[in-house]
Amino acid sequence: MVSAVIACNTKRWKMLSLFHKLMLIILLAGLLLFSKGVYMQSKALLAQQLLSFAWGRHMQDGEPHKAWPWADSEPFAQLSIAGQDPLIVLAGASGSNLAFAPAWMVSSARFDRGGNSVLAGHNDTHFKILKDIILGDELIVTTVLNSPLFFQVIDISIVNQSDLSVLHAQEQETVTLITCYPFDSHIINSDLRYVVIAKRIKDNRSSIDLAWLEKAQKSVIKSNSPF
Amino acid sequence: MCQSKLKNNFHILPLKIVLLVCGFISPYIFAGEQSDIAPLTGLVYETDGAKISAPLLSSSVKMDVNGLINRVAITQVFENESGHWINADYIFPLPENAALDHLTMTIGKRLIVGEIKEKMIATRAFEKAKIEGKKASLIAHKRNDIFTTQVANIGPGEMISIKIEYQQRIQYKAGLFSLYFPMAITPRYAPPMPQLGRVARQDYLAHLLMGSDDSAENLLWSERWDSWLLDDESRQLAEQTIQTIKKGADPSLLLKIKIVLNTPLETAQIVSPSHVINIHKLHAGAQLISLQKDAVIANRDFVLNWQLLQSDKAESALFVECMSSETSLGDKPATDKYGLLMLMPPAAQYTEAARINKEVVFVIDVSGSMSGTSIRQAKSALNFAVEQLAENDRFNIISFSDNSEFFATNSLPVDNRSKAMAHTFINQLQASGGTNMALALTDSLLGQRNVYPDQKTALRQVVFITDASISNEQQLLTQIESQKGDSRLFMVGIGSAPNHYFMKSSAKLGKGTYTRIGDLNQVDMKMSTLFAQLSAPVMRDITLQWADGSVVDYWPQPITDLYQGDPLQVTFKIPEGKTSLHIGGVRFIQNRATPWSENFAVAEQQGAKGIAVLWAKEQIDSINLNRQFSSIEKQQKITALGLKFHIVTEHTSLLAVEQNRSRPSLTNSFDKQVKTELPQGNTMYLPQTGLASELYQQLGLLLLLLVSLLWLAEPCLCQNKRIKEGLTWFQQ
Repeated sequence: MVSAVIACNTKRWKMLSLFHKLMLIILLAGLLLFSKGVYMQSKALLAQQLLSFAWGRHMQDGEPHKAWPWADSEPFAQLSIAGQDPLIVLAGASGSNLAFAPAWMVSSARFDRGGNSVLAGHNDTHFKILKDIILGDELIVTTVLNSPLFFQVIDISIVNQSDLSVLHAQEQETVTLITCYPFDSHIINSDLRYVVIAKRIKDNRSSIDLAWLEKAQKSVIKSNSPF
Repeated sequence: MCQSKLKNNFHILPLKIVLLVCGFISPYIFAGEQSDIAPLTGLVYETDGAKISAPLLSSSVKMDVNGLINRVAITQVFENESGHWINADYIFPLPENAALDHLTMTIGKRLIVGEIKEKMIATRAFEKAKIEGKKASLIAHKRNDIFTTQVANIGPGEMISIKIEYQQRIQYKAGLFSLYFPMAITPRYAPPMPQLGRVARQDYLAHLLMGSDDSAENLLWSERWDSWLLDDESRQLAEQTIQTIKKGADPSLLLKIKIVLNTPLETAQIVSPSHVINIHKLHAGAQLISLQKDAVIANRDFVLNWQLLQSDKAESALFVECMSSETSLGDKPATDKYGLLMLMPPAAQYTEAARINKEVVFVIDVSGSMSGTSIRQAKSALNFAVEQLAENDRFNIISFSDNSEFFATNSLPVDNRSKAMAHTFINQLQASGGTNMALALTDSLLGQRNVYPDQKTALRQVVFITDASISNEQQLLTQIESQKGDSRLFMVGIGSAPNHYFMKSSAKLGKGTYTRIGDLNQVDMKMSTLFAQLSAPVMRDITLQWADGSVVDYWPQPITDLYQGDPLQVTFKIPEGKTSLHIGGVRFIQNRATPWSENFAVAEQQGAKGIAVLWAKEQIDSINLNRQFSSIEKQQKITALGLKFHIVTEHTSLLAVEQNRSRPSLTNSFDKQVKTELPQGNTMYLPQTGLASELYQQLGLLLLLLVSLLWLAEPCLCQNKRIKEGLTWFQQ
């Protein structure tokens, strides 16, 4: 755009025929659009790299680390979908978080609490793989507190964006992945959502589990025993 | 909504609103817009193969306003249209200062009066009755403004009517009386739970499991644990409020309201900004107010405002209630007397000359936890606050993270130059580092280094802007208590989840207020309200005692400062033989603090009702905020008060159980929740996750392809052109 403006003021621009002017503008517009798309994709890719470094440090010392100094939130969990490269999940499904990583909706249950944990991600970057997911696929969620949690896909559905029922807790412990539908769409603000529901399956959990200890402690304190 | 969605669709820039939660409910909506009383059809859905419809509910509200006290009866009629036995669960809002103290359950012609019980006992008894097939109802406290009604074993086609009563104090400010009845709960996305690092967590568990020799440390850990549990509870409640939201096919929640307004003086301008009302004069001093429509959908809070006609305001009013309490020995029925005093302090003529010079110290948290939106909100609030300062004031700004930084060594007088300098100082603030709040408190409260003795002003206000992401609340609160001196502490909470407990407690200790700013759009409104208050203080250091010098058992405690238009409202117990109440305070006249005192005769007035309950409710609220009690002590005190005054509290519930069982032993009953209305103007969507980056790439490539094609074809096209030009030249 800037060069076009400069060109406007120069004699050369005047010398150009209408045809050439048109060509130059189309060229610029094409480059801009293309680079915008590439920028969004590469932002998502690069952020995942940085986040996974921060995640590694988080797993080592148990303290949250920021992936880059001005980041709004720290890595929250690691998600692996059907054997693909693991993704780092952030807490809080805000627009800025979603640009970098799939995000856990803070209103939903935390992992390993027996509720429904909801993750949202963009359908053109991190959650593009949901397109190829089938019933029975395995999800693995790792948080700093737990050994890996295993989930199996039990339901895939398409819902309207105002259907909040997918946020509700199920009878069993579940993970719900949400992304926009249709995939590869030329609609920017679609009102449909592709919803993948996976239920917790048995895994070889370590015998000493901090979360379990805490739960036990909670029940002790709830019955008001002084200590 | 429609408009904004359209706009979003056309916006290429991906400005995504992920969760559009508009808590704002427009108070000015005309009746014409709400022709939406849907037919009552129960939602039918499957459970275990059996089709069961949700319970129907209609509520009617009757209010009785007497002077400053509003007595409200809500009748909730639960109706089961299905062919099965159901247990209904209804979550509903009440005003925050409501004291719920009465329950009756009506089944056909039978009437069962509810009793107050400890929450645990009541819940167990209710569950037992539910299993045994007896009809029962339980009213329980969820949060200060959210309660639940549970009704067990409603037979097919049956109707059970639950009548609850509560009492509330009418709000009175600047000549305007106002009462408020909430109808819908704004579904809340709960803030994320504070995440504990692994080391902190292990520490934590070790402390909880083993305890230590230091009892103070144990107490600290248990209190931290309590606050963590509280967070968890509020998150669960938030989840519940989302789950009970009515969907398209669910029955509408309807509500009727009738108000009898008794005022000794002529009223004027009875208006409701929320609903269309009819006013009907009953007799002198009493008016009947009803909704224009028979019933409205419960999706908008009801507000009623009125004023007294006579302009010379009653400067004080004192109401007394005699309550006979049953003594355990039974031979002498003792009478307790309770009083309510409302006093308009003699306000100095509010002119520029009578302004109070004050020193305002702003403290802003620039720690790492404030980064992002929070620091933007805080800076915006601070910039606004600096603009609001008056000419004779002095001010200073302290920013803190690991260390604190002063804007000026001494507080500066307010002028254009200092304001401009302050803005520069504010705008360069960056969020990083830890939260050393103890240092900031010392710097701001122990203000000797800020002001020379001769410049000392009559009033010192500290405005503390922070997200309070701290874990040493108790130490800090102790510090505030010892250092506060004459300073008044006004807390401004920034961000989506400030530490409310800490903020409220410190504001209470510092005799100030707690303002919460959750959204960048609220900054101006909230800060200007705060500053309107800050700029017009009338009286401080208010004390109550009986004329003979003995101590008064009064609540709320401590009494806050009075600002322009605020009345002093205090409830107290009147022991035998006390007739004169002495009130003292410090007034601000001509920039000088002047002692003021007055005596009030506590005479037997006409029988006011509900003051005892009010006194108990105020006391419960004060105990809740008092950090000198441990949580167990709090529980004991609140339970005792709840049981004595029949009030539903965190630890006491109202329970009514039928004697006989009504459900046949072979049938089951199903738990069903009454669906609640979404507050009007509230819209929520699943997050928007399609950015179409590939679309951009494809479009871009397409355009590039077009250009290259054109470029290739150019010689050909241009040749044609030249030939044409040549032809025309030749022809000429």
